[in-house]
Amino acid sequence: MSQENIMTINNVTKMFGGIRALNKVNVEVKKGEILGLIGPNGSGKTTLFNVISGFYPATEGTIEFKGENITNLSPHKIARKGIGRTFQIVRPFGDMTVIDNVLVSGLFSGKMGVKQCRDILKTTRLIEREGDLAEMLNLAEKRRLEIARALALSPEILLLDETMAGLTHTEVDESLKMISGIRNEFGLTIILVEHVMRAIMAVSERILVLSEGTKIAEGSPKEVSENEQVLTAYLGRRV
Amino acid sequence: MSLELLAQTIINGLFIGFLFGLAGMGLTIIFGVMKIINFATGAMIMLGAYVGYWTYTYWPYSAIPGIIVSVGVGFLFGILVYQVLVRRLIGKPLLTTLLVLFGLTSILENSMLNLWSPNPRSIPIDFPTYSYGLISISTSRVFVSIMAIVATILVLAVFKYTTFGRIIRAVIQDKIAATLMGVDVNRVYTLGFSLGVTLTFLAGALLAMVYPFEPFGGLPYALMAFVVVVLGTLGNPVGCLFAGLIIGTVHSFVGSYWTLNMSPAVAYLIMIITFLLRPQGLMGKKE
Ligand SMILES: Nc1ncnc2c1ncn2[C@@H]1O[C@H](COP(=O)(O)OP(=O)(O)O)[C@@H](O)[C@H]1O
Ligand SMILES: [Mg+2]
Repeated sequence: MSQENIMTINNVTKMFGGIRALNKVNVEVKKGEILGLIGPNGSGKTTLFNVISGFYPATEGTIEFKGENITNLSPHKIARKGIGRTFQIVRPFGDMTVIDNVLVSGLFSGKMGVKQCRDILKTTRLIEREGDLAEMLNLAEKRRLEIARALALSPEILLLDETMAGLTHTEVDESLKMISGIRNEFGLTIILVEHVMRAIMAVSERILVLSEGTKIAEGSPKEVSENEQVLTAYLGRRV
Repeated sequence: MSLELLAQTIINGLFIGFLFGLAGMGLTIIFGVMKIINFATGAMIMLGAYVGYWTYTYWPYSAIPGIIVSVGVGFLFGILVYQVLVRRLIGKPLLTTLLVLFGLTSILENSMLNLWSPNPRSIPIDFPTYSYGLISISTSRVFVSIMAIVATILVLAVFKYTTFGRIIRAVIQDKIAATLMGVDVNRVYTLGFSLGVTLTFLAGALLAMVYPFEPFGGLPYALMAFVVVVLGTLGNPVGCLFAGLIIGTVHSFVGSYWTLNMSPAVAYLIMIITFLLRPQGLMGKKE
């Protein structure tokens, strides 16, 4: 892994009315890394993804992607620049077949044909279901379809929002293997939001902790799991 | 009740049903893509008819150029109307859409009145009519039906097999997810609206070959198109075609055995009953 930055989040604040969902967040994302993003419910993880992907404008601050300021670009342009994402609540195109779901984004990248899109379905273990309607898939498969669809954009960064929530133990293990596999196969940078602590600790090289919109810790999984502030933020919520 | 009258009624009904279906498809595609109800459908059907008619007066040898020109003008007109007006209506209250598009209707109708006078026009193409006993089948109606079927198949094929079609379907289902997959929704809206208007114009150009029309004559067709859209399930083009054939046949039966004036009333009664028994339309899934 090089130390080169692929994305820089500078001082990003996001207000929803009076709610400060993100508070002066700074992150340097290294090219090729898997960066874990954790924090209690409502700490701003999804909001950060929404700001990066241009779906919500940042109230303050900037986002640079490969040296270019992408802060005020519209979402479809940001997607085409190479930032793919999944949704915390799955939203496949239910009335379309699995392969058609992937083709929608695949055809934009310009680098993908039907064959490459089918390869992505192989990687995400959905190839047997390519002709089925997306709404027929089970939750684990729908989550994989979200990843497949994002991969079809040939992104350089993939933002994965709780893609393991609601999965069984075995499914989580398979998903972890797939995510590392994808990173290596496609040379991607991945930012991973996950509640399953075991999972995020296993797969991330670096972890970033948000609490009430503020970054409270950043470091290796070991460092973060021993951090006092992090323990309080988590335990404080669990009382 | 003679068998000939029955057969003739069904044939006429299916024929006009194709036209209702086409106009309904125009409406339903626009609604499906951007949740806008095109209240200017009636005036656009008539404009399509006039463009076909106008082309024919310049080149009175075949029906084809009129159809092609009408389709082309419809497409460009759709882009223009979207960019100037409809773009600003997205997400606005229904009442705003209603008023703006009624305004557009009024502008179009009065412009047509000025350009082409209030006299009913028709495209006087000489299509032979074949008679079998008391049943007569005019080849113009057959031609128009075939054109409507071809257009429907074309639209469905575009939806199913092309990139543009996949993108439109994606936008219909989840605009936000589509955006974040790299789809430029504004561009899809422009083309979706324009495609809808194109079908509306085509319906007009085709009906002009069979029925007389005049500047303010669009409303009855538009009303039927609305019924067809509801009956065929909002946003479902295939449903529209079926619903078109059903409503066309009903229309024809009411005309043959009662009085044509009552046809819209009966069509709306069917729509209301459908609403009560099957709110999702004939083709819709439960819930
Ligand atoms: N669209 C929105 N409008 C208003 N408040 C929002 C919106 N999206 C998120 N929030 C608020 O921002 C905060 C962070 O939410 P979110 O980013 O979803 O948290 P997380 O993903 O970490 O659970 C919460 O207080 C939430 O209620
Ligand atoms: Mg979240």
